Amino acid sequence: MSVATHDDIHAHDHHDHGPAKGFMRWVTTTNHKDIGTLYLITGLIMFFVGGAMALVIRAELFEPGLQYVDPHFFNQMTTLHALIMVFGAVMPAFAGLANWMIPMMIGAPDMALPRMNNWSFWLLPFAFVMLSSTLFMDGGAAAAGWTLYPPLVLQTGNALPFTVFTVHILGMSSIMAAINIIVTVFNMRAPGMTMMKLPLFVWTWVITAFLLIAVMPVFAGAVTMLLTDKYFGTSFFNAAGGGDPVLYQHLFWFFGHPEVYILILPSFGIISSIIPTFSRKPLFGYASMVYATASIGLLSFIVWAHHQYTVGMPLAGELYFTYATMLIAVPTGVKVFNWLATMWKGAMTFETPMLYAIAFVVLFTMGGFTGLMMSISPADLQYHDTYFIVAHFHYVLVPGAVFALFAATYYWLPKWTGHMYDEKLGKLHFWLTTISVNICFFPQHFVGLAGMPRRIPDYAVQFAEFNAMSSVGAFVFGFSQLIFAYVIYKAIKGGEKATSEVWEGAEAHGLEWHLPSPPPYHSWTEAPDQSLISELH
Amino acid sequence: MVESGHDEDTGEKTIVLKPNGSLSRRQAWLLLGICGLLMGLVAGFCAALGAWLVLPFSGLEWILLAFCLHLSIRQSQEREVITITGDLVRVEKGWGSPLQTYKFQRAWVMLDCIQSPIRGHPSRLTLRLHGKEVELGRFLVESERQVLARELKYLLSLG
Repeated sequence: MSVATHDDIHAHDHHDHGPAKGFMRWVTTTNHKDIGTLYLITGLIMFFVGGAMALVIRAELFEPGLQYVDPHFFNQMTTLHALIMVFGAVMPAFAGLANWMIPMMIGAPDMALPRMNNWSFWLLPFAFVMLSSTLFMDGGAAAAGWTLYPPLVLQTGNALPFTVFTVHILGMSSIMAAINIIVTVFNMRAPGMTMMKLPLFVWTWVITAFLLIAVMPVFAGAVTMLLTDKYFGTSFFNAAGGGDPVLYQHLFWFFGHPEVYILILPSFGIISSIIPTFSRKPLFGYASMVYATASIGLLSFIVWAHHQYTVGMPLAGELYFTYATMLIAVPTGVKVFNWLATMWKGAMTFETPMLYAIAFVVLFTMGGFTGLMMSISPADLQYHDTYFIVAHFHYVLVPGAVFALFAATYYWLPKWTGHMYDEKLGKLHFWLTTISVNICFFPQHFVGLAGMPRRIPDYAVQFAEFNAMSSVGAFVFGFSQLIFAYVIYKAIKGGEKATSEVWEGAEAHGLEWHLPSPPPYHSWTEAPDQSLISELH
Repeated sequence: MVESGHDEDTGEKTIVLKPNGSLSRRQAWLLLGICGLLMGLVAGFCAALGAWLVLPFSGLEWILLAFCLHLSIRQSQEREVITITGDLVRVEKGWGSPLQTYKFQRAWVMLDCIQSPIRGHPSRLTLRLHGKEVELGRFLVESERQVLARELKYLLSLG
């Protein structure tokens, strides 16, 4: 018997492949970091595409009367802006973060199903090309809002089947990503990484993944029924044939309300990662954060009809949905309290990720409070379909989900690229974004309360000043994002070398900070030391 | 994971190698059951309202989840059993039952531990003899592979 140790690599070694070169690397990759990067870049591109559509809307609304676009095109813009921002920008960006971070956080070498991971990403570009192409079809794109309510949406021209098919492809992609995350987290955790040791970001994504697989079939079924109603003579939503258009609303919002939490729960995970790092304290109330997230997930299934108070509902139904919706404020309040308690007496510093995290806590809470106002069914009759609603959900989704994405990018960018980003530009981006987002959306509360309807390109002259203000804010916000893109580009190209820890004391907050910056192509070829895991939380 | 055993009567030494998997088959069934219940409730509720087209989508999704869980669990149930008896070294690889078996003469077999020149990339541990080679513990983490290499080196040298 002989024993040998070689330093040279074996001729047919199949472990030591690095990334392939050129364009095909990105097409064929099964590496979680490559796929994460693809998702993030797609999310950023779609953020600009959806943002451009928002600027068309705000340009039209800068003053009363019709200026630049006709009402039908205006409605196509509101529809596509929403669909692209929800399914094209925010969801892929969170999926990108999940791909990049979850294996590194749980001590796994990659995602459980790498080939499916590749497929779930590569469905997206085709879906978005198809969705965008509907703008050029006979009759234009769908113009019934992102809810695609019948009977209005059935008046769409040739674009309807393409829009429905896009929804199916996006749903397939989301479902595959969700299943991959569930299997990875349940079966690929490093030894010692128990469920109650998981970082909050991983927990929030697991719960998000369960929400996705629970509600996506409902949306897929609902839009398929739209298709059969239009082309195959069924009457699911056609009252003349014995159907009920309100059924679609129930189905849509049974998907749509959890979808809102699908967009915000990973944000909670991100903020729960960032605040402890820059407060130099462990997260306050880890277990309560996990239970609060799970509670929010469960409650999201039983509150859908608060989006339909005006549709005609029995009083008992209105009461039930009012109280059930109000309940959501309890676990959300637990989260906000825990973030504040984490900051309390912490040795805080205010780097760009922390600034975004603090802005998230303040502004998301404002959005949450207006949500609480709308949960009260008699009051909601006043707010329904007004700009107050637009202000509410933009406060939740822009300073909520989008700010969390900005925070996450600044927080993990040095880890991804190995270079520190330009802090001055990061702070400039933060201040311009935070000020402009409030200039854009805060006045919409006032015009909404005064009765300005949403999805209408014209308005009464008494709303002119607030709308002009809102449009100025929107344009400043939109163009500020070019700074964000430049900061990312600059960090990829070079800059000050980042250490493995990146942020002072970060190693105590997650396994990812024990890997070099940038991490090796294969993350954890050696399982993390159990002592590192036992030190978490 | 590396598990060693020794049969006092026959003098047979056995090393069982298994990859890390944090989910047992039973837990996977439980997870599938919970997801099935949740998805079934949702789809059943929709079907009861008349939206029966939700059912096939839920069913397909549950099948996909089951298939993915099966693949991942199957991967984590891969086993390699190294048995050293007298002058024979036997390596069996498979899932549940041995699918491939390799036999080597203990006196002549060579144990190679090949380090990767790329930092952070895993090493390879192989047994080879007369042009026949088998890689051991491909799914192990680096520290476990080093433990296995030391143990095998010791056991093979006893012969």
